[in-house]
Amino acid sequence: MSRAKLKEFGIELPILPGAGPHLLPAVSGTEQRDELDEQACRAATAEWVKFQSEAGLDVISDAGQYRLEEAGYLSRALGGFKPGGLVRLYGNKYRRRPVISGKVKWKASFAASWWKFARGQTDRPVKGHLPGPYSLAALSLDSHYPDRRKAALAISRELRREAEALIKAGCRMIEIDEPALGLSPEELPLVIEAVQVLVGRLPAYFILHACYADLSRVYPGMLDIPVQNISLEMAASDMEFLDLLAAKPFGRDISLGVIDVKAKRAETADCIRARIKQGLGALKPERIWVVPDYGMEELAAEDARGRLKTMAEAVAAARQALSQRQDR
Amino acid sequence: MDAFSRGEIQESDLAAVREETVREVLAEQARAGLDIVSDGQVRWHDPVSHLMGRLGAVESAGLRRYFDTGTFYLRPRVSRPLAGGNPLIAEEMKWARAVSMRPVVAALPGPLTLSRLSSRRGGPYSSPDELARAIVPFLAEELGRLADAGVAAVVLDEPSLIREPESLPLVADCLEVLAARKGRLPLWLYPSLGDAGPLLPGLQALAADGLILDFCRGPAAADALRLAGTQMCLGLGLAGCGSVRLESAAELAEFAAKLLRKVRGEEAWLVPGGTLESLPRENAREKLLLLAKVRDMLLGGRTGRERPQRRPVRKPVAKKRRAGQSRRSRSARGRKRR
Repeated sequence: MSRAKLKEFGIELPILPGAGPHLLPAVSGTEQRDELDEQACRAATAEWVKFQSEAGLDVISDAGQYRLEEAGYLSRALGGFKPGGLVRLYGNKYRRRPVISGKVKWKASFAASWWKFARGQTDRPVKGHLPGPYSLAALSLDSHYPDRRKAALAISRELRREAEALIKAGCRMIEIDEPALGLSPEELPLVIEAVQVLVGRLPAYFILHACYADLSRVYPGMLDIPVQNISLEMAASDMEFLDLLAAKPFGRDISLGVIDVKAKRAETADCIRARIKQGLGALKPERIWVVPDYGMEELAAEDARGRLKTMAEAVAAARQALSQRQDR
Repeated sequence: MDAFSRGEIQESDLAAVREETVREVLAEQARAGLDIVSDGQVRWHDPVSHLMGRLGAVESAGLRRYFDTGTFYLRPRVSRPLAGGNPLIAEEMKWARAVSMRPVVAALPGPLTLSRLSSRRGGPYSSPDELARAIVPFLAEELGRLADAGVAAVVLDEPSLIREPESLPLVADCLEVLAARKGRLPLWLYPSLGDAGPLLPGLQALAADGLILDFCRGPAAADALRLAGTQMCLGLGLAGCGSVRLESAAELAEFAAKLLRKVRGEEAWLVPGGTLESLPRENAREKLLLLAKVRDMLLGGRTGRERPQRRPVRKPVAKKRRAGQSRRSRSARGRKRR
């Protein structure tokens, strides 16, 4: 059904499409900073789009060079957000947390022009990207809204305007980043409601990305999130999510995370193929996309290139094996 | 840590940096006017793997987000039976106690949370509950060491209980074992990172000396406390760590005073609601100052710096004798306890 929807939009994908991650590493001039160097971002975006196309990926990411520093990006994109101070994530890893200091307000299009630019660099389909309303509410330091629900829904309404801008620009595949899914299982209804406000009746194929959370307490309820594809970090958690599918079939497209982007050592093509095979054991092949677990922005650029090439090779091999199996 | 991982400094250099940082954290809390301080767990990689690694679960099953705090932890993989014998955090706490001007409280993640945040795949424990029960004897042993280390109290942090209220009987069993081994060391339970209101009746029956409730996550905890009161010592989680907004000290003091009328336990503490680690340092410092100010308001305008030794305590903060008593009787109680 989801492939039919894509076809409606003129997008035909091969079996097991390989897709780029929503963030790729900074190259010269796009390192994390408050002020955006537009020229450097354009050059880096063009470079990454070209690389993904040449590597053989079927769905191209806009590479997110304009949003590598999340707190600064949000403050540029949406009124009401400002960058907060540094917070320790774990070990010696720090990041600035976004702060909601006022009413969230869409100011002007912030993702659509980058999508359009990326689309102009390739003849392959390019995903647009939006932050998730629930995660922005849950993972920002909110000083304005009285509760998380009010914050999430207010953000949803404003992000919907950007979704509309993306669609107006021609984008028909939009990925929504919701890394907070599963962190507070009792708030799953809010996630569903917030995403519904954002995507309801819009003519696009929506992908929701979740990662680094225990989803066992929100499955199968999470299948009520109104998107066509759910993209999951799986490699880092030993593909454990697949165990949950015994309770209820997934029943929609899935982007299978097959590269552990936090691992110091890159996986081999065989390792990635084995993960794809695990996915094929639990899901229909026409439902599966193949992606890295998460954004690759923390890797060195060369490392990320190597891993994506390996993933593309593994996808090609898995596709060939599948085709041979079907021929028999 | 980066320099150490690159081989640019020795382990002894790293240890010195860590010690210096802990000193700084302890001093910062004392300067803010806190009566009881913590070491800030600055030596810990994260709230889970630090402890589980010392129980032998040294393999990692990947990175996970630590609830909705914006922080992460390395998910331990328990692939073999847990093994203890060595101190978990007692040595760190002993050192902190020795260099701190204020009493030091230790925080330990509870067995429910540790078991739920670990992977058991391929290991000997067939269920999360079995793993939780396996963790308990090691925590019990550690309580003895922490008592010897001179900590003022131990807070057992159980954020998983909020998400899994049906596990209250398991937590009750675990606490029975811990209570039997802790001697006179006060043991507090903190079902953190959520509104524990619906759990309050069950929590009151647990074998803990004190209970900490986060009042920043919703109204249910306050409503339940107003309704039922408590015979336990109570920690009031007041300054919310999910926001950089600084609450009004006067409003918090008024809110706390009303709740404290329902507390029949010996002590009450004022603590941050949630984990300060989720805040930028400057905002965290402001929250600590706020708690000290609220304490001072509750005590009638006196400042913590004038008579710091008179007050009970806790980790990031402050405070207090029971509201609703006369100042004279509060002082008397304070002297008696000292």
